[in-house]
Amino acid sequence: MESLIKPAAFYFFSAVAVVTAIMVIVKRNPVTSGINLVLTFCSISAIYVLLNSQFIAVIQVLVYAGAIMVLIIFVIMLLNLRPVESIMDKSTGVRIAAIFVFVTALGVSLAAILTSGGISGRSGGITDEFLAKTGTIQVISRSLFSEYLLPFELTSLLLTVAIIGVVILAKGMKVRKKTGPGSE
Amino acid sequence: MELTINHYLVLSAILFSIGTAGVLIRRTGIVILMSIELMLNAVNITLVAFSRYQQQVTGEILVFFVMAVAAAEAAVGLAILVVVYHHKKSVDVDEINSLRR
Repeated sequence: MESLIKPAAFYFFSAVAVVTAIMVIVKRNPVTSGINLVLTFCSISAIYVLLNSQFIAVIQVLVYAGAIMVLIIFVIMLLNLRPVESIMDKSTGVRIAAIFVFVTALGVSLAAILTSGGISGRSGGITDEFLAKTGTIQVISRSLFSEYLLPFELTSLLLTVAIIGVVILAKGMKVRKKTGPGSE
Repeated sequence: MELTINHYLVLSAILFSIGTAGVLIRRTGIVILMSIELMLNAVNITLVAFSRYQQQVTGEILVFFVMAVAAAEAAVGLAILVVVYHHKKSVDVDEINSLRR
């Protein structure tokens, strides 16, 4: 019984993730796409729980389903976007190229995965039993604040640069408006 | 029945391909951004799966950084879309061709 629950949960959440991901790209209304993407992120979070990586699962819900999707849906509502007439209104060449890229990307990656002989290499020793004793957050943060301290600090720099960039983009809009049309 | 790493990798490959298709077929800038988020998430599944099956923690830390980059990318991308909308009254990426003229 125990050995059946995990695969069943995996197939259920994978199916939800794939179906909602397809909904994201085929729905004509951007708001519907956004709601479906929230469902995709929540199913992926459940997949992380199945992988015994609870910290990433919580961060997934907080950052993606919480922050990023609220931002995206806020912008959709702010711009008052109407549903498009058709999702496949690109030129025929682009359409063929899109189908070609989709089939090739899926085919190559599936072939690579299914013909590989599994993972090899040195095991890190952080087993599920070890994680059950210490918890994922402790293991991750110990590594993050010692081995990966420099990348972690650089991330704060990246976020600062992103904030400054967004402020400049929003401010620049007002300045251009003040000088009137035709000044670009 | 045991879940192997291939299960997670196949799921990731399918989600990544759907995201790629979304970026290519859609013209609405916001849906393209959402498809990019989908592709980043597919990569995150791969990283966590490898990390857990190798019994390491490195992949999960990389996921942490990918999420920070995704947040920055979403913020800047949406700000650019808002500015484009103010100029063109549309977020259709096929109409953003000012540099081609």
